[in-house]
Amino acid sequence: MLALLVTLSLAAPPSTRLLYEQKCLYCHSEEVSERVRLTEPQWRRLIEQMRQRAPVLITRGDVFTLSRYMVNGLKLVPAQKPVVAVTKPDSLGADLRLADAGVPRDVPLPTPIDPLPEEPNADELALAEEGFALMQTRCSRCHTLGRVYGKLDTLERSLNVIERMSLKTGSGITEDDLRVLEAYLRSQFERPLQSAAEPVGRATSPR
Amino acid sequence: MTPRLVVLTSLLVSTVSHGADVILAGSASLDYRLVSGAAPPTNPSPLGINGMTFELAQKVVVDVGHGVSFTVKACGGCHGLEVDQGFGELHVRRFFNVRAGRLNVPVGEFTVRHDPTNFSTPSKPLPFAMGDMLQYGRSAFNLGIVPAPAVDNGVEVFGSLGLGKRVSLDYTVSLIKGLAGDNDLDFARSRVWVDNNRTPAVAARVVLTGPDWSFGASGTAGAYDAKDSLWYAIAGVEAYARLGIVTLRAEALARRTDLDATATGYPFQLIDAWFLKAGWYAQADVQLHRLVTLVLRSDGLHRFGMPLPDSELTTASAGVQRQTVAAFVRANDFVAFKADYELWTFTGTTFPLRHVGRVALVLGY
Repeated sequence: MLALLVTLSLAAPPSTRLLYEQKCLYCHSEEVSERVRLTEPQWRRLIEQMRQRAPVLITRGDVFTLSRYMVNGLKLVPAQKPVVAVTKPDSLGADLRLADAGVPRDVPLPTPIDPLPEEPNADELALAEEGFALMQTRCSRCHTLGRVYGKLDTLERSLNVIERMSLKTGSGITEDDLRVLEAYLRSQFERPLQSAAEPVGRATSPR
Repeated sequence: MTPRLVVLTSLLVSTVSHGADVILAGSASLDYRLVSGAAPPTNPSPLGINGMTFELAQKVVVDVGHGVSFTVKACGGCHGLEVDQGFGELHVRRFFNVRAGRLNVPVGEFTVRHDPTNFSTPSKPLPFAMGDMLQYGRSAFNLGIVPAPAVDNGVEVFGSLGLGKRVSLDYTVSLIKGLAGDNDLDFARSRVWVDNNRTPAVAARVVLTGPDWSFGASGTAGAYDAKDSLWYAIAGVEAYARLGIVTLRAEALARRTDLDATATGYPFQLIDAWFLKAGWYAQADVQLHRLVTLVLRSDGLHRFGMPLPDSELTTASAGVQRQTVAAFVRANDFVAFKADYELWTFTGTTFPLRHVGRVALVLGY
């Protein structure tokens, strides 16, 4: 039975649905997230704002994959006419409230003046995929991932924590892993992206 | 305890006021167990409700820069308020770093995950068990091999050596105060801050890690009585692997402990003045859903050698085996539920078979 589960889980390709569950449903319930009806650019802006709140959990590439999945997979698009924002969003994560599913009123749309995020290139996508996977496998050896996502809220703190954790005996974080993770964190917290191949210094403030 | 709290508070306030990066983490766990059969064994309860315990912990990590950080973790439970961790850490190079203060003794892999938020079952594996195990008292099995958290004063060097792109060899070597006791270890006394003898103990752990696997070994040894004449030695091996949705962990530990040949009351003639305790666990965590993990665990503890004077163990070979099925359900980032069923069987003793059910609520941030 255990062998069957292992085989199935190793053979199963990562699906967009799984990505949606891992990233969106990590904080929101399906009921809340799937009552929103937006166009693809609106989804992109909204998910980008979510990404900025949880940069270690949601990658830049996820913003595009997920916004397309919302529109093409889950069909969470306006039914008849464009959605009109009634209130300006001040807390997008907590206030995804709709009056009812078919006719959304009170939709917390992203601010229209926000620029549409640029789609990452292939290198950035590869780094994000590798960095996120590393973060999941290495950190979850000892911690629940919620603790990880909750604690790594700034770049400087994230880099310090990752380096300290990498030195814990048995952490499994090699020097090469550390380099990838640092590049990943920098790409998530700031622009421009720094290449994973280049060594990255500590973020410790010179005190 | 009050002076310690003052120190902790002062540390926190002073570091915050100096603008250092402060990371807080904490956990709380409420656990209830129901044991089948007549006259079930009891365990200590800080709530006065038999079978119910709670633990809480608060950790502060202060990163002051230049590779220097300070960690203080206080925890409370059956033993009152304790300082689980309280050390300064200096990162020099990846292969050489120093930590000094109140440390977690580097024996076994579970020691690293001893906080209730970091393991998926309501109970600890038997080699690391404390009062949550059945027949835990000194007159029976006297806890596990090295009850977690094993906390001690000392200094340690640690680091990581890269062996290629994805493999590293991590190590920790510690010089510590050591465990304490008279004619077998007394883990409560071992946590006293002042040593009971003049012989420091040593401990070490080495782990070879790859992307989804690791193998390691660890051990510690020292004198435990006030006269520096009785010794203990602990050795263990560990393995970890992740295969898709299944995470496998296994550890085996053994402890040789000197007996006091001058003591009286042994049930048989004392020939070998030592006994051996061996313990193990193998565990599979199967993540069925992003919020639900099924856990299968088999663990055990066996004692070979002369029973202690006045012990309920009457043979030179006595053991306990446990089979566990557990569920770990995460409600959100901060709340999780644990529940399990455990089948306890004993060999070489008169203790009857027991069915145990446990539920636990765990909060963490």
